[in-house]
Amino acid sequence: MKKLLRLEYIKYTRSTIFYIFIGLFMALVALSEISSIYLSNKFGIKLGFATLWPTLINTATSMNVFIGILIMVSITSEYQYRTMRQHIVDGLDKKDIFIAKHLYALCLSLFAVVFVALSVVVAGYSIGASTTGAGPFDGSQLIGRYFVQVLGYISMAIFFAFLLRSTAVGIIVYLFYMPLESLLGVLVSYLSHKDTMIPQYFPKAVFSNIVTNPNMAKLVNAAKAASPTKATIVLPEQTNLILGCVYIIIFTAGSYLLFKKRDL
Amino acid sequence: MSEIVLSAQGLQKRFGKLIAVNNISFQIERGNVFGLLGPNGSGKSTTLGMLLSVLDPDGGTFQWFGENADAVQRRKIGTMLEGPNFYSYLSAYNNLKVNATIKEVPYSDIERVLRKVGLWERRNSRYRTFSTGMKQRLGIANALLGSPKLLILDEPTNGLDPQGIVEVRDLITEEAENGQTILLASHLLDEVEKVCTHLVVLQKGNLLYQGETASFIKGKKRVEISADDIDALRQALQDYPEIEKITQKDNMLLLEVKPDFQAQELNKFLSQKGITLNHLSIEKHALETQFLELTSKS
Repeated sequence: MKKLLRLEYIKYTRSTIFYIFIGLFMALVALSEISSIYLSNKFGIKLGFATLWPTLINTATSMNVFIGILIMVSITSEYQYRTMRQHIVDGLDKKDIFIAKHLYALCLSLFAVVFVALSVVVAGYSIGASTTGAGPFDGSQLIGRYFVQVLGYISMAIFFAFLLRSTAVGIIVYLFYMPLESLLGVLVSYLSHKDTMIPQYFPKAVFSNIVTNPNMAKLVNAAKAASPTKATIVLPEQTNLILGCVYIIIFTAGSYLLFKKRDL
Repeated sequence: MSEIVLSAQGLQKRFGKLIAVNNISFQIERGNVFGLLGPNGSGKSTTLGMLLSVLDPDGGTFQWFGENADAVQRRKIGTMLEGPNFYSYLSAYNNLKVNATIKEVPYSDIERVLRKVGLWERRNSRYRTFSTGMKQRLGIANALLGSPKLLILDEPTNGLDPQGIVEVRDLITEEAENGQTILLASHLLDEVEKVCTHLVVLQKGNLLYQGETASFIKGKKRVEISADDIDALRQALQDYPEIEKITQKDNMLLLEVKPDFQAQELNKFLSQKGITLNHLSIEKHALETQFLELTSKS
């Protein structure tokens, strides 16, 4: 395990792409959080720590795609430059390579979680969120859900990487899958001629709803109150969390089978 | 008893309908410089790919160092398979550090191998800044890391200029002279003939020959002779016992002769018959002749 971590450390801490994507992730998370706080202030919403955590974590979720692309590039470029093949020849097992990639993914997920958590605490103190009476970690339990969400996006990226084995195609498919799933959801709803929950079970929908925007939750509740006979628009967070974990297992198992079965 | 480094039995690989490797078996003993010879597409790299676990065989078994092939056994082998494969953004040193970590070799060995291939001064340069020859040499340094029990080099002179070919060939010869067991896959007959003690010849996935290089070459020699009266020469040669086959090409006779053929004896014999030769040469590229003959038959 230590050896595999050291191997990934040598490879990626000297990569320019690594620093560009990490830098982009950090900058865009910070920018989106600042925008979110600015908008809240503009609409007169007073953000205490209890509401700051879900608001800012939800804002940060859209940047998970950068972590996903980073891990995807780390896998597809190994195919492209045949370095994965060289690792096998030099004395690693396919299983070792698979674990090494997931350790790298886990480290990136932890980094994202720690960075987002720190940014919320820093943002909270800088806007005086502690004056509402809430402690800095009130509402921080959401960070666990955010961790599962990051892992979800990453597991999907890893699956596409092992499936497609091409950096360019992988990134295109990964990025286009997001709007494509939404379109598919609309199509399914249209064909079923009624409100259907099916699109809410699609992987991207599940992952993105593991952490919901508190304002969106208010809208959902209002919609339900206005039309109680209609089906719920989104699944409960708890259901999304469980389904998210199931999808992570499915994507990881699928990636392993693809990797194990194919020649390098 | 000599130590068996590799033993392969009945290896098979298909790509769809194409049989890339068809039921081949061979073994390599310690100290052999073993050539895997065959034209492009003969199955050399596919065979090595299976032996090094990057391709799953459709049939057959193999053992490294008398044990079942696994990652631990592969760490005892230094390999350059189908060219050098490195991270373009990493330096030469850090690329070798990756392999040293996999093989669990101390990083201090990196200096030894980089010096050996003449790249120590360029250790901090990124791989993408290297010339083809330097990349190839780094590939060999990577293979030499940790003093492996077996060195596998697949087409090590591919894409090199004449100077680069000489440099890489000298490196291989030096390793061979130091008693290193080597498996060299190549389609370059000259390269194999100069370096290898043993060889396997493949064509279209089939094994055509396995054994010592010397025996392969020794089987037959080819001699070219010519005289002013070519018909009289041909007539006279009918009585010469060391000749197995005579073919005429323009004004020249091509003789396939027995292994103990002596040119001076033939010259003396013909002069006694009143025939003076104006040309006599023994073919230098015996391996090439034998290889072409073998592959044209199959």
